[in-house]
Amino acid sequence: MHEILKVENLRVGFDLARGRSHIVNGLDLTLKEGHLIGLVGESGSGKSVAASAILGYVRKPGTIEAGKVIFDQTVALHELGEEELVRYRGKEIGLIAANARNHLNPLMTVGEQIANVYMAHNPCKKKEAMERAVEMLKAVGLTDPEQRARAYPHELSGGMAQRCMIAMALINMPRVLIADDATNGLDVTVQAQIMDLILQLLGQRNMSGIFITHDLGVVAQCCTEIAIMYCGQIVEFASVEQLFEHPVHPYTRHLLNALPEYRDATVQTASGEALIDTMNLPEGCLYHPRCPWADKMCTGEDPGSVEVEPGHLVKCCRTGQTDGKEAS
Amino acid sequence: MKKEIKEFTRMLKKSRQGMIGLSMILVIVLLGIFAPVISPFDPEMTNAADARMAPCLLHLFGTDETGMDIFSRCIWAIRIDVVIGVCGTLISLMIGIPFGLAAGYYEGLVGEIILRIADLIQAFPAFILAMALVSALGNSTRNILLVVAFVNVPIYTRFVRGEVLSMKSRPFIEAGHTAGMSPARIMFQELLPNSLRPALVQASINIGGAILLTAGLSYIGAGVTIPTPEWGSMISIGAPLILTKQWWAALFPGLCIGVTVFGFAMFADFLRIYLNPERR
Repeated sequence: MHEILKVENLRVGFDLARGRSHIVNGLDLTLKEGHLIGLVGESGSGKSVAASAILGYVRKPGTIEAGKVIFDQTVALHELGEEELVRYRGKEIGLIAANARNHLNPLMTVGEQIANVYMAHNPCKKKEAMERAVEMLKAVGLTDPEQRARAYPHELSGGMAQRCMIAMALINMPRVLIADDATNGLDVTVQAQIMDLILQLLGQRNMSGIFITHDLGVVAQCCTEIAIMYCGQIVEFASVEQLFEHPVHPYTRHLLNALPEYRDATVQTASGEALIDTMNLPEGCLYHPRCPWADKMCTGEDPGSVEVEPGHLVKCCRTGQTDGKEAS
Repeated sequence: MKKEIKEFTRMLKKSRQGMIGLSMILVIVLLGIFAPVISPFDPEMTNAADARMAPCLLHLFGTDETGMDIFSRCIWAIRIDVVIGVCGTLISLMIGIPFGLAAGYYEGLVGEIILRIADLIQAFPAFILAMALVSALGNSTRNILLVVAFVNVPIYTRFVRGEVLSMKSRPFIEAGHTAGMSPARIMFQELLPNSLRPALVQASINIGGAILLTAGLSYIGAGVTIPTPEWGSMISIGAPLILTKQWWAALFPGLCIGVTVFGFAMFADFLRIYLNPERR
């Protein structure tokens, strides 16, 4: 199958006054054309930073230390300079940011903003771009799009602002869409509408996507694969069925255990500090301070990814040994 | 454009400051334009026989030491003071904004150089610097205009730089980067329009300051020279007369300055609200 986006060993850190904070620590991810990956992890696990780092953009004082990002099997995005990168950002890979209202310019009408993004990749007159923006606003299901295009962000509801963000991300018809917690802060009915809308648009335009979320339920419903992220690494990657039926990594099992319908009283709960110190990462497996199955092996070398069944990758030193519910 | 005008009038009707400020400015501007028609006397015509006359029907604001009609002079002075204040501010804006944009966007060497030049200009009190420059260049009206513009440039440069710095890390600018907008696009389509509005508000507040600077220069004799009608110089000739109870020669030009500055300040207050879409 055609790999539309491949990320290898992506590392991002932030230089803070107290030292360097390691946020993304060797992230590997492969997105096949037409697939939808759900990227799930707790707050602060580096999901959003990873999303923008894939596009080669990290806010200061962050820097991308290492990593390869291959688009469409041929284009090495990590080797491109800023000037070439802007041609891929938004055009080939679109990003829907969480918290739409903050990502809209408060002093400009949404129509203009969407038109500006269109003009960034398609040289044309402002009028033509505005027409495209209105069409796009219609496509994302806003009623009276001409009127909405002339509204300022603060005049829109949260759901409408989110739809505008989707319109902005999709106006250049990217082949890959990264939706970073696109339904964050919306109420449940609107969340469902927005998800349906994104899925419908992805289907229509034959796009591939990465959905970043905390919500395993959403992922189970609409994605083809799930990537579980912990401390800036993908600790488990599997198809939705594999992951829910046969979770292997202790962290995944703890996550699933937090869902009432998957609750298994016999799984040992996570222990240790809930927050990892990103300045001083633990040696070896990053999850070992919290893992009830951890032993000497886990504090040694970095566990590589092991394929436990076709398409099911796990990053755990003790893969296969933690099935017993008892800690050894 | 039509919509903007409609919105402007709608907002104006709601705002008392806006109405007062704008009507004051309009009256002043019209008086200035029609000065030759309105003023009863030639502003530079001396008349020893009528010197130091108290306000009366013939000389509404009285006359000064040399018998020049103060009312006519006050009206003609609008052409100097308001024009220098407004045009000077516009010129400072036009120079200050691009430098501020560059200093905010390129924080490294470029930004440092621009800031140090701004420091250099601002190291001197604006008034002293303006005085020195006008004396060096010669005090023609054009030179005063340029000097008033020049000493105010760093204000806008710093102001716009601050706006750009605070905006650069805001999510909507990052969204622009990740949507593939080039740095030039970010600068001119996002940062410039967003810092333009607060800069305009700042400028409308500063017009009053520019008028005061012009009048101040003329007051100490470094600005427009007598007999050209100018409020500051009129006060300077009128001030000694206060001792002999001829208060009008200094009071009326002083009032003109006060009223004009007040009018611009009121309008600036309205602009501050009007130019912020979130407050409309």
